[in-house]
Amino acid sequence: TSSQPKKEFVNEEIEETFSKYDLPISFQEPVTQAMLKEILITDTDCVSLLDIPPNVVSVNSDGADIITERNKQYAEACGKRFKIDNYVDRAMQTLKRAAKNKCTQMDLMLKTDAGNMPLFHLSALREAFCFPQTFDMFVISSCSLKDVEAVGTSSNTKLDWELIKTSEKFHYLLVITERIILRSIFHCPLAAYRGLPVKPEEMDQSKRCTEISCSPALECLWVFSCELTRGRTVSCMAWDKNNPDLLAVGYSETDSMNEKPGLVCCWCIINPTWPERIIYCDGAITTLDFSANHPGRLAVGMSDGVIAIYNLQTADIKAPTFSKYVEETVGSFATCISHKDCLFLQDANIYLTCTWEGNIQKRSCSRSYDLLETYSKHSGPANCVTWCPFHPDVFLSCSSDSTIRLWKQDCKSPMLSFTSNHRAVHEVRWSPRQAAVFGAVNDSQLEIWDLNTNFLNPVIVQRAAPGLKMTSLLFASRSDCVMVGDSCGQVTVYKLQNIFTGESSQVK
Amino acid sequence: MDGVEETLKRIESNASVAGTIVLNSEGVPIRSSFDSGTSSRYGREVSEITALARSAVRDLDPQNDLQLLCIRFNKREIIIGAGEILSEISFLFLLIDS
Repeated sequence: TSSQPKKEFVNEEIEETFSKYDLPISFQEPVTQAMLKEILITDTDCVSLLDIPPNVVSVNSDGADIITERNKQYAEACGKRFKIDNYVDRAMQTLKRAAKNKCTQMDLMLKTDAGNMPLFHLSALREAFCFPQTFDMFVISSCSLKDVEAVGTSSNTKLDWELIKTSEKFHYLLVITERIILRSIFHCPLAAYRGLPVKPEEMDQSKRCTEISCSPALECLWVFSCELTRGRTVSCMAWDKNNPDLLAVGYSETDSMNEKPGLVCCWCIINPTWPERIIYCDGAITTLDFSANHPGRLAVGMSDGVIAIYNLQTADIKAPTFSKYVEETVGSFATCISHKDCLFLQDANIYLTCTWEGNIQKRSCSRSYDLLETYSKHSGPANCVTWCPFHPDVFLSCSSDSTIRLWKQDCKSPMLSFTSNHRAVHEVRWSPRQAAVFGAVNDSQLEIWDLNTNFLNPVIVQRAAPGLKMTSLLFASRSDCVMVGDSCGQVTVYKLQNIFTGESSQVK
Repeated sequence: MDGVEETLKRIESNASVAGTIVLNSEGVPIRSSFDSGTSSRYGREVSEITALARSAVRDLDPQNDLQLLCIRFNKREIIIGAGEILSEISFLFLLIDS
């Protein structure tokens, strides 16, 4: 009596296991003669998640009573499952790890060819499964062992590496990790640049011990330099108007002897060791500037008269999007274009040019050949002219006669003249944050003048390292810092200390 | 913009970086600047802990995925980046000195 239910149970089990061999047959299309020639009936891989074979015990054996008793208890417990607190429903997460290949072995199944049976009914299927010899069933009799070595076979890893190298995600991760490392290295200088306080335990040992002086001074924060720029002269620098952390630097050839192609590097202050974008140009770069209205466009002027506009948004920049050859200088957006003549825009109409003879000429945009005014006082070629950002009528000029002169627009002779050592002054710039402060750079030193304090001498003088000539200067608009480019391809960032904003200066 | 190899070389040439190891999904080092013994040791340990971190992230938010994992020791710091290509997982990781 008790053997009866067990037999049924065993039968059910067999049926269940065989129902896993479901054949994917579709009844949708009518089966044509052509299709009948090749019908492959295969067997999907069998995945057994849990395999507990039942223990079959004869009713007449000795331990049968205990087992029947246990079976009964188990059946009762299953029935009461929902009511007792001992059982709690809980979801588990299956962690998908890398698949491992395991070898299995089975006895070879006997195969015999039988007649093709094109149409099946589901009931016929069920019967047919009990007699496996009726169909062609391809069974994997043994799997090949796949060795998973500790170090990996060479061909596998090379393929993997090639795949990984081309992945954008990998590249992105690399860039992020590089920035993380650089951030930890340059943490203190960057904080000083942004004007943020630095906790004492994060500073270097050396800096903690120095006393804080009250006099104006320059603190060197970091240097933008890489192997590409070594040996070139910095000719011009410009900030991106849309992204105040991006600095474009143009490099020209050092002497006329080495004919290297001109180079423009866009540096981000996050990474002083490698520029974000590198552009090679045909000629030496004399000037560059960013567009205010179109983000990511950089206009570059070269010494052979070519103006090119580059789109910086793509990572790989080979050719300019726009290139034009101009015979003479054209003022587009406050840039100075060709070699010796410089242009600076003040309001939309008036601009200044400086000339080889040392005259500064004021012209109007609407009638560009009309000379509105000539300011002549310099005895050497005028190198640079810059309008004061706080006073619309005031501008500074510097020239190779080692003087810097302060002019007012209506007055033909300069208001003030500054000179400190007898070297040609390459560039002069107003500070965008303090009204009476400007900086000038000549071959041997950087000078910061503060007109509120001292008319005769610069308040800070920073001498160039021996063998280096300073060639270019730029103030940072968001920070009390000044960038100095030199003849070795380096751009050094200095922080101005102890120069205080006074009231705007009175011009005599 | 330079390629992956140049960026890796630049990272490795940094003074405070001890080296980099790239692992595949099984934790086997594919490209490493250390010797194979150290690489495989680190590979084994790191793949375990990254799988744990990743399952934690996915538990909290199934749409999310692990991108970077930084572990700071007393003497060193490890940065582990994880990514998937073609449903294989590729790791990158670096060692930095303190």
